[in-house]
Amino acid sequence: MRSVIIKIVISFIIVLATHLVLAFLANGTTDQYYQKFTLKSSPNLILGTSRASQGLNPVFFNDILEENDFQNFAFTLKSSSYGEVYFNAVKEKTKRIDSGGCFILSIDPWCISQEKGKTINSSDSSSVLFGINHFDQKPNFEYLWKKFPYGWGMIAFRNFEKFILKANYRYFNENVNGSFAQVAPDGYLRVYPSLDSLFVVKKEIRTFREYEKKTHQMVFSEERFYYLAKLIDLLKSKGEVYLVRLPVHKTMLEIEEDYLAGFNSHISTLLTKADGYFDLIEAPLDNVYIDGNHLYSESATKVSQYLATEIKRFRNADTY
Amino acid sequence: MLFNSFEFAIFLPLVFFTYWLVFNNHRRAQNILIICASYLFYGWWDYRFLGLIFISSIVDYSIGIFLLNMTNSKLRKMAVFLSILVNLSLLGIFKYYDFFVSGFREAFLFFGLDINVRTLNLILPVGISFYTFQTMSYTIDIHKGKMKPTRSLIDFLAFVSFFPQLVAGPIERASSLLPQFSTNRKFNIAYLSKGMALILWGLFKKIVIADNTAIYVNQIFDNYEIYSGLTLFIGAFLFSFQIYCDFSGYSDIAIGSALLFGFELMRNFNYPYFSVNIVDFWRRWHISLSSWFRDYVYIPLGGGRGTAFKKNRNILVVFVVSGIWHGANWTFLLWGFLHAAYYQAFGLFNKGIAKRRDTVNYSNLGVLLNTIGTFLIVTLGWIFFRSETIFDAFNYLESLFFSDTFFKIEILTPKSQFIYTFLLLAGFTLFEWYSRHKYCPLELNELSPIKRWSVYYVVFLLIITFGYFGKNEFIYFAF
Repeated sequence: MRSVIIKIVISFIIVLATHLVLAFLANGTTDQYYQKFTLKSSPNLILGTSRASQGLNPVFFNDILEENDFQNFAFTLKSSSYGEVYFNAVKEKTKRIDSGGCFILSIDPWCISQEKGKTINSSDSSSVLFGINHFDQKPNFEYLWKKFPYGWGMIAFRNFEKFILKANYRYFNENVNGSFAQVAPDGYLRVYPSLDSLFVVKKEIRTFREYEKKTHQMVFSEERFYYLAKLIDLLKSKGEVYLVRLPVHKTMLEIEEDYLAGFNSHISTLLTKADGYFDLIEAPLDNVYIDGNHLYSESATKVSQYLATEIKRFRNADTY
Repeated sequence: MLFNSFEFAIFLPLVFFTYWLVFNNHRRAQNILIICASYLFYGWWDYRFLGLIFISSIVDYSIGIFLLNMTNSKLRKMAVFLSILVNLSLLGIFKYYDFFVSGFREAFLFFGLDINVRTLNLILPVGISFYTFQTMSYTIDIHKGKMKPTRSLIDFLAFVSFFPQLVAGPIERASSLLPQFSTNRKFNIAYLSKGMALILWGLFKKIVIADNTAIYVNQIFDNYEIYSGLTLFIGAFLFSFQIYCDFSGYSDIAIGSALLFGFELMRNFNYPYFSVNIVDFWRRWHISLSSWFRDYVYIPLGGGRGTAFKKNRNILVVFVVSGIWHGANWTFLLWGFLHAAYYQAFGLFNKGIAKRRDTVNYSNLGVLLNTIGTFLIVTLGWIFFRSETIFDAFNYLESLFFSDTFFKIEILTPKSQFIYTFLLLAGFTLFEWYSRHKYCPLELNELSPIKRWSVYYVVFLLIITFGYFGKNEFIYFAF
C-alpha cells in the first residue's frame, strides 16, 4: 500500500512539474488570446473586436504618439462585443490607471448588436474573458486552466512550430493557402495569410454570406450600446478616449449599411462623451483584406499610422 | 454526464467504492445502487427525460411478466406488438416526428398543396435509440423462447438503465446482460485491470484522437466551399478517424466501466478499418447494432434465403433502417443506401468470398489493396454521414473531385496541431495494427510490469498533455 501511495505521489509530482515548465513556455504562439492576458497594466489601450485586434498595431501608436506602452486588448466579436463582461475586464485591466491614458475604441454595427432572442449575458458567457479575474499575470495559470482547451503539451508544440513557420514564411505565403497567426508581445494579432487571389475571393464570399445571415439573426442592442457609453465614461476619467470605425471591404460595408443604417446617428450621441471619432471607411488608403472583414497586416500598418497621425493632429489642434 | 468529464472522474470511483466496499455480497443493494447511480448519471444531462427510461422499462417489464404466464399465442403476439409499439412510438415522437412531418409538407408543396402541419421541436433525449432497442429485444426474445422473463423489477430497471452503456451502447441483449444482474458478483482483480486498460485506451481515443481531429473536420465540413480537393479529402479522412475513435472510445470506456462492477458487455468494435471488404467491415463496426438488425430485422425478413430479389431487398431494408436509426435526416438515409449498394455490389462480384476469415494475410498485396479500398469507400460514405444536408454532401463531393486546385496545400489552424494530429494518427494506426489480434491494444500482459506501466504512463501523459479538454460530446449521443 505504501509503495502504491509513493508511486501515486511521484506521478503527481512529475505531472505537476511538467505542467509548471510548460506554463512558463506559454506566449503569443499559445493561442490568439493568451498573450493579452499576461501584459502588465497600461494606460494606453486599443479596444474592440477582431477588426481592431488585427487592424491596429500598437507599435505605430507608440512611435507617432510618442508613447511607449500601447497595448492591443481587442479580442473577437464573440468575446469582446461591448457588454458587461468586456466592461468589467477593461475596468480590472485599468484599475491602477488614474490619468494620462489614451484609449482607442474600435466600433462597428456588430459590436453593439445582439443575437435576436438572446440576452447579452447568455451570449457573453462564451466570451474568453468570462470568468477571468487576472489580466496581467505571466504565466497566467487562471487563463490556461479555464480557457485553454488543450493539454499543455500543445504550448511547447506551438513554440516549436513558430520557428518552422516563420523561417518558411515566404514559401508558405507563395505555396500554401490559409494562414497562421501570432500575438505580438504588445497584444497585436499578426496574421500571416496567403494572398492567393482565388482563395481570398472564396474567403470573402464565405464572410459576406456569413454576415448576410447575421443581418437576419442580429439586432441593435440598447444594452450593448449602454455598456459602450459606460466604458467611454469610465475611460474618460482616466484619459483620452477616441472612437474609430475601421475600413472594411465595400461589399461588407454595404451589408453593414443595410443592416444598421442608423449606425452613425447612434454613434453621434456618444461624440460628446469621447474626445474624437475617426471614421476611416472613406480614408484614402488602398487597403487589402484577408477575408473582406479583416485588414491584411501591411494595410493594418498603414491604417494604424494614419489613425495615429490623425490623433496626433487632433491633439495638436486641440492644444492650440 | 460525459465519460470525458470531471464529474464522471469523481462519480465513477465514488460508485465503485460504494459498490464494492459498502454493498459487497449484497446483490440487491448493489443493483439498487446501480439504478440510483444510473438515473443520476442520466439526469445530470436532463432529469426530465428520466421518465421515458422508466416508462420504457415498466412497459417491457410488465409485458415480460404477462408473457410468463400467457400461453395464448395471439395474446402473446399482441403483447410483444404493444412493447414494440410503445418503444417505437417513443422513438417516433422524439426522434422522427418532425422529420416525417416536414417531409410530408414538402411532398405536398411539390404538388402545390400547402398543408398546415406543426412540428414539435422536441429535444432528442440522449440514448433513446439505444435503450429502446435494448428493451425491445427483451420482449422479443421472451416471445421467441430464447429467455425467461425476470420477476425482479430491480434487476430489470438496473439492466435497462445500467449507466456504462445507457446512452450510447453497446446495445446489449437481455439474454446476455440481464442474467448478470441476477447473479452474485465477486470482486475480480483481472476485471479491474482489464477495465482500467479499456478506460484508459477509450479516453485516449476520444480525448486525444477524436477531439483533436474534430477541430479540422468541423473547419473543413463547415467551410467546404473554400477548400481544395486535397483538403476536402483530408477532411473526410480525418472524419473517418474521428467517428471511429469517438464511438469506439465510448464503447471501450463503457465496457471497461462495466467490468469494474463485474459485468461483461459485448464487444462493439473489432479494428474495423483493417477490414478486407465491406462485409468484413460490418462484422467489425458497431457490432451490437449490426447484430441487432441481423437478428431482429434481417433474419425475420428471410435473411439470405429465397430469391436474389428477396435477399437484396432484405439487405436494402436493413441498411436503410440502420441509416435512419442514426438520425432523422436524408443524409443518414442515403448513407444507408450507399452501404446497401456496396454490400450488394460486393455480393454480386465476390460470391463466396464474404465468408468469415479469422486470419488475414495482409502481406498479400491484393488483401492490402482491398483493405485500403474498403477504407476509402467507407470514408466516402462518411461524407454523407457528416454533412448537414444532402445538398452539402453532393457539393462536398463535387468540390472534392472536380476542384480546380486539387493539389493546392492549405494550412488549417491551429497549425501545429495539424502536424501532430497526423503524427498521432500514424502512431495510433500502427499501434492498433500491431495489436489487432488483441481485444484492447493496452492488454500488455506479455510485457514486464515496468514496461507495461511505462506504456500506461505514456498514454496517460499523452492524454493530459495533448488531449482536447473543451466540451465535446460523443457523436453517438445524437443518435
